[in-house]
Amino acid sequence: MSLKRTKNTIKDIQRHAFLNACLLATVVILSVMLFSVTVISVSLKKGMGNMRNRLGADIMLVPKGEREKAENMLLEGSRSNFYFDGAVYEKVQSIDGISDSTSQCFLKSLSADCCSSEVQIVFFDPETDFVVGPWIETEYKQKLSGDAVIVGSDIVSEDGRIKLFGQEYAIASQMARTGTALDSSVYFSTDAKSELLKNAEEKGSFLTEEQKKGDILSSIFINVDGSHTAEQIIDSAHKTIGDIFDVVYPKKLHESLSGSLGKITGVVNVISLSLGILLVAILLIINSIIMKGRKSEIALLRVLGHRKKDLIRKLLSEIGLISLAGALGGSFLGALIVIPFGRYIGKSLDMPYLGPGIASVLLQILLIVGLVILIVFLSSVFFIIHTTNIEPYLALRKEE
Amino acid sequence: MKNRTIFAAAFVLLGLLVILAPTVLFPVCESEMKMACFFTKKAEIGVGLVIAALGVIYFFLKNKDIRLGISIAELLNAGLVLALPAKLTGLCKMSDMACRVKTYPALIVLSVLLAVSAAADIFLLARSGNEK
Repeated sequence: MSLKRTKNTIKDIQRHAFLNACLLATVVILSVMLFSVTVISVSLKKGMGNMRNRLGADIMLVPKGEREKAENMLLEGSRSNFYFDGAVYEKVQSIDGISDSTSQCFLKSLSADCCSSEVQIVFFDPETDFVVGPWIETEYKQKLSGDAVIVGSDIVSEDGRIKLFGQEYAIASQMARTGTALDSSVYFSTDAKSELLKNAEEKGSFLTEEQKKGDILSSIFINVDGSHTAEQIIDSAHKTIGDIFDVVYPKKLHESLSGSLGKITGVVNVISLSLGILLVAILLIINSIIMKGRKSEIALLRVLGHRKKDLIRKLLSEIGLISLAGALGGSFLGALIVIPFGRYIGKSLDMPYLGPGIASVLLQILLIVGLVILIVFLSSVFFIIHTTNIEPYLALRKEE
Repeated sequence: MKNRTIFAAAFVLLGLLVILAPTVLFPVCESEMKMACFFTKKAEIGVGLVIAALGVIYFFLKNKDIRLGISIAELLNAGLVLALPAKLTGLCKMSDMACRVKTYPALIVLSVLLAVSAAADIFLLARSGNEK
């Protein structure tokens, strides 16, 4: 469309300012809704996918009575302290039918110097680990030594170092975002455990009797090999280490969470669908009113010699311009609300939430602009064709 | 007159929201310790007051050039609303803290809305000035 024609179209739109403003407002609301719903559900699904990867072990052994805490820790990343004796791990390793096993030890830190709230400290064994590793964005080639750490994505550090209990540690790598409070954890190699506990005690942090022992671990993650079942492994573990543990099935936890995500998206879909239908109905009504009001104008233009095809094109370009502006403005507004508040949305839904990247936001804006223009076009094309088809004589006579 | 009222109202409203966002609507972290976000809150109250006061002055001015100047000041203030939590005074370092989860997004939204309305006003005033 040439610039002159665009200017003329804008003038035509301004001539029917009130109704066109109603149309624009409806289009903006429709686009805000479409954009927000798609971004939120895509981000929740992405968070959930990430969660499945994180819950990468078949079974997780935790001390007896701590199952609920451990489940909360996996799902919401809430911080916990619970411990086994360190010797348990070696006994578990000897059980037949385990393909991978690794242990972790959690330490709830009371406010680190780096941060204004407490962080969870996790000790893991880089040699056997298969739970933390997949989350590390950049390779950490050097062996994780005592004074280097891996940090969750939310830990902010300007100089690549983090201070905990008075001691500075180099950040070897940063994990990808998981969308839960695990993002604010600091991961140490198991070798650093005794020194860190000593520092913590010196700095006046309260340590429980168990923590003071040093040789402790909090959970054992196990993958079962193909020829055994999880139940067999649990049976053997009961025989080997006694009845001192509870079992968490991380993968089953994921299923239950997916279920509640399904419910949330179901409700959101029903609400947005009914709202969408309502908005389309409003669009139809506005379009019919606009075209009714312009009947005599169209008839006069036809009497003056304008072709039907040209008139249809003129009306469609007006509608197209309004819907383009509305869709762009609506998507922008939606992005302005949904993207900065993403973390707040995830937190209030109690779900892992991973916001979209710039590329996917742009793609979604494009898709929504296309979809909205299509909806507005479909809702107006009937009225436009109908109005241009009325005989000028009839149209003008009725106006008398 | 119509544009003047609309933009003055927008500036006053956004100025008040900049004051209310970190204090009432999306308050920063509550702690006895004075953290970075506490100072950001104080600074935003000041900036919000300036934004609202400029909006009131804007309403009573008929001279387009002075109004243009006020709009430019509002545009720069929009930058300040964002720069305070982002760079100048900062926020708590943990990203799951209230100031990062709620206050910062609210200030981003307010800053963008203020920038867009100030820019729109600058555009309209400059255009009407050229037409004279």
